[in-house]
Amino acid sequence: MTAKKVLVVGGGSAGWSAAAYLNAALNRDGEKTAAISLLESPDAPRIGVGDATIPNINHILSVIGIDEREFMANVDGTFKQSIRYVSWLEGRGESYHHPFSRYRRMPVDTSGRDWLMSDRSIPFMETVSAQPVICEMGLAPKPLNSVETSEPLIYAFHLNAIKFADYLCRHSKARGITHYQDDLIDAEIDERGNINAILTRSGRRIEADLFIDSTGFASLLIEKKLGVGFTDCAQYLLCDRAVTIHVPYEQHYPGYVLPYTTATALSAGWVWDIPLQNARSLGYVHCSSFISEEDAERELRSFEGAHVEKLPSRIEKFRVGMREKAWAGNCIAIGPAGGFIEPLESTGLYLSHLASVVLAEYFPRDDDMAPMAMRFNRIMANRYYEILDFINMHYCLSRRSDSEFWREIRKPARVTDRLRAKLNYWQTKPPSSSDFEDQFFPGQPDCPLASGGHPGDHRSPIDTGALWNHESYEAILYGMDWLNAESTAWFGSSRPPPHMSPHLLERLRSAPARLPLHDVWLQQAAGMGRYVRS
Amino acid sequence: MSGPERKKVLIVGGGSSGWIAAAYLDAALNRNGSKTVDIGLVESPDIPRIGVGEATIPSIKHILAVIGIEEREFMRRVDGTFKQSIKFTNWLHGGGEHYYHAFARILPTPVDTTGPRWLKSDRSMPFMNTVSAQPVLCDMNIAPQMLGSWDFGPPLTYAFHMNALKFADYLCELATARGVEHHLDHVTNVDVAETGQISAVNTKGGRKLEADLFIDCTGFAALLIEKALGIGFVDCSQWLLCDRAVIMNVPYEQHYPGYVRPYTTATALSSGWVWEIPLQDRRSLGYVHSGAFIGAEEAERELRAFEGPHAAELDSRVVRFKVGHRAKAWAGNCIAVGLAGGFIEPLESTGLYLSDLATVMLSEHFPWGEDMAPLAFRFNRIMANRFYEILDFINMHYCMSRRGDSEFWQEVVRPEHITDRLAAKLDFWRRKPPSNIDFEDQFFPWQHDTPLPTAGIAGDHRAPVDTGRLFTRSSYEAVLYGMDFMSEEYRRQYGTSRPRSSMHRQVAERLSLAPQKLPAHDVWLQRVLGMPRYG
Repeated sequence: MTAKKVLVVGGGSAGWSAAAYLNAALNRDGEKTAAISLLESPDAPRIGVGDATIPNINHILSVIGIDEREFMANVDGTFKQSIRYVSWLEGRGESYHHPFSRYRRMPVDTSGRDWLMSDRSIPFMETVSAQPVICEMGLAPKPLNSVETSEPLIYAFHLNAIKFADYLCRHSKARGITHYQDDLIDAEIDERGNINAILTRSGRRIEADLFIDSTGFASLLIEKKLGVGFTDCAQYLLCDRAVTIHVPYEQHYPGYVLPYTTATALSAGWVWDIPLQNARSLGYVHCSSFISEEDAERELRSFEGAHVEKLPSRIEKFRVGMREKAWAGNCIAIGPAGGFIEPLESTGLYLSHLASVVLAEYFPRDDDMAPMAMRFNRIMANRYYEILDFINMHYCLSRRSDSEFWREIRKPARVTDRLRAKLNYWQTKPPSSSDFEDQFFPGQPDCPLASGGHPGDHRSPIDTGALWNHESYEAILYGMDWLNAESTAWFGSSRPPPHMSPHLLERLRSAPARLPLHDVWLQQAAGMGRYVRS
Repeated sequence: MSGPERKKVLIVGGGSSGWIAAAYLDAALNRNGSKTVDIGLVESPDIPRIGVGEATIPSIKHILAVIGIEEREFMRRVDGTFKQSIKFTNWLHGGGEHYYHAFARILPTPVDTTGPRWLKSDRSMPFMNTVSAQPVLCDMNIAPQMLGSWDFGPPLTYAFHMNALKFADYLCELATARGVEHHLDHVTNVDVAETGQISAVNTKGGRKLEADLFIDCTGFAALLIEKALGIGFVDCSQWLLCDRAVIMNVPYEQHYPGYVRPYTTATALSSGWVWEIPLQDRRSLGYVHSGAFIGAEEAERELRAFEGPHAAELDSRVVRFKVGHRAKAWAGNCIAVGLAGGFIEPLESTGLYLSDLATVMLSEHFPWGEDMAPLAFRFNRIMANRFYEILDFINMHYCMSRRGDSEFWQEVVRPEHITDRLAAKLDFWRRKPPSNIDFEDQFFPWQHDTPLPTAGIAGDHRAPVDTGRLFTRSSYEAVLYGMDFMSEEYRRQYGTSRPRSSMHRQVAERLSLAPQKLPAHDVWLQRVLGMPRYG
């Protein structure tokens, strides 16, 4: 079998991840299935933004063959063990963690139900995970040199997305990927709607069997050339813009590097705080109908404090929604060209990585790509809606009503049908693991995928819980104090304190002796500089 | 969900599914010293007491763990033996060939290319042998446990063979000791309220047994769910033709082959297949066949000839079954568990599993409040999804056959006997071998979106969704490649000088040490459980 030619158009982290992953996954065991090249505009903006990931990135790194410490040293990487949500419930500084590791009681895990029957004097997540406290202690998730003896703590990374793309670029070129620095100006489309070749500013004509559109929101191939539409989901997630600021440690070092992402709710959205090795990245994700650019920038600056007065900020606009068919003809959109959801659960890079993994599995072996495209589109749509619903829930459980924005997002029209059916159902019975296979609940309308996806595929998206299971839902629901009044009605007002497993207590007791501070780990193992506390 | 008020559950029927339901619900719901349900079980004293051999799958371990049963004690009480695999013989050509569907295999990370590589190889070694030590361990009749404590790396996955009747008796003893009320009485009629809820069952002994929930474990009789509530049965015999089994026990006293196999054997015969389940004191045989293709007497003759002259004098009996599922396994306040809820022939040993699953799901969806309908909706959907997942998987064992040596084998490969879902999958896999992502949301091109036959419950008009909870990529690979999937196509595409199939290094390493570490299966059973020695 001759290798298929794949051209990735666009060289951000989505494009380079796709190139590096496909090259590693498809050209294994001495077989070459795909000949990969990447076209990148030489004028693309080179501004580093902080990006947070989820643990699936470890699969990507492992397939590509990247050593963790080298990776962290190259991308200003730090550990991420959790997201801490601040001011989402009442807007008064209250917080909860959504950590990656959680302890499961065997053979039947009733921790959720047990906590509902308690007086809630300990946050739910602290009754099932050591990570909230380990995060608050500012510890790294692993020792420096010794091997972790108990079950490893699960983690992902914070990274500089541009440096990640650059690193993958060097890595891929060393492994035979062709890199064109040139601008796409046109594409040749045949009568079946397949792309034959693309034409560049310097007069190149590049042919390929498969074209990957990683041109971001510009969607140069999938939308501009193939005319595949975009399904807008802004009804359910209102934020459409972010104002971002970098706070270099040279300027202001808080004295520690938090081993988690912080998401703090503000008047018309929320701020991410992503710690890197040399700076913190802040971004106020907000809704333009409720706050102006200037007001948002002012709110962000006053949130961070006087030391950011002089720092430049910039604006990014985005639209929440997905490509009707991320795979159309021989073109596959990966990254924002395929769909975008706001970064509240750090799923941006994940969605690009998932598209690469699914494409590697569904890599077309012959000319009839339609069956592979049908499956790819269905899996990506399922996962897209799974994430949409989950993030939707973070908003609609809020009890804030201190601004127009927070009053608006709680309206029924802002809650997806699927999420509403689940939340209704969970008032009958708390979430449990079998709710997450085939998530179809009473009263849920059966709405086909917006575009029908593929001729014959007129089914609703199906959430199979491949990303968020009952444990993820419990983290948010109970973090948002869900069913509090109901629990009083069911179990009375004098309930016992929550139970904490001795296993967790023991782990916490031994953590400070076994795990170094996060910044110490980074300085010793990943080459982070030493900064003076501001 | 509601407060501490106790619910009353009455289980009708005392076979293995009834007693599993009693013991499991008691263990799962009355935990941590708080009693939330009162459980009773009414069982007819007139029910025939015939012990049959039953094979399980590894999910049984969850049931034992929740009930709190120690594994060795369990095996002692139920004549239990280890099961590491099913060996399918004569399914492809009927010429004595076989393949194993083993429980344990390696799954190389981060990318598992063992399946695609085997497809392109010369297939000189069976696929399962390249990724699992268990086929060879099974050939050598070796136990998956050491005589002392385990120090042989990751454990081998196994389930058990057991005497189902002894299992029921053992669970009865445990459950009654823990407070489950046991009524030995015959149910004569059922009181159904205007709302369609059962209020009580009446017995021959003149008792009126009331409860909040009634569990129908009366087998095919389906006394509550069908006779009292009139819930229909969705027939699936179009896809699985077998509807009868002729059964025989071969006591070791009479005939001991000299070993106890650590696996179930499923051998295809002229109009179906024979199970062979080794226990501690006997082997249980059953010829599962289709009444439309072979008479009961002829089937019995074929079974005796298959087993050999020593079976000439042994008793046999015939059991009839119907493949299908209850339109709603949960209707009103009645939940059918076991055969009353649905039945699929035992080719992949899923009989007890379906009862176990219903019990686990009921404990997860236990109705603490009055409004049971949303819980019933989910329960019915999950049970239907799983039923069709199993149906499709077993369907595949037949339709991949190239036998054609009898009317039965000619019939089973016809397109109308292949489910739409399976046909769509197989078409897809001819273009690309099975991979992990195929098993989430299994909806494929050209697949019809046929709603659940009865629409399950008002509002649930969707097709069943196979989410791959039970049969994963590994399971499908075991059967597809065991049945020599696409051998012609690969020969054409990759030629005759293909690389040899090779055993994964980890498998070879384990096999090289296994004979020193692991005893013969019968030796383990004799030394650890006290199984007698036979001549």
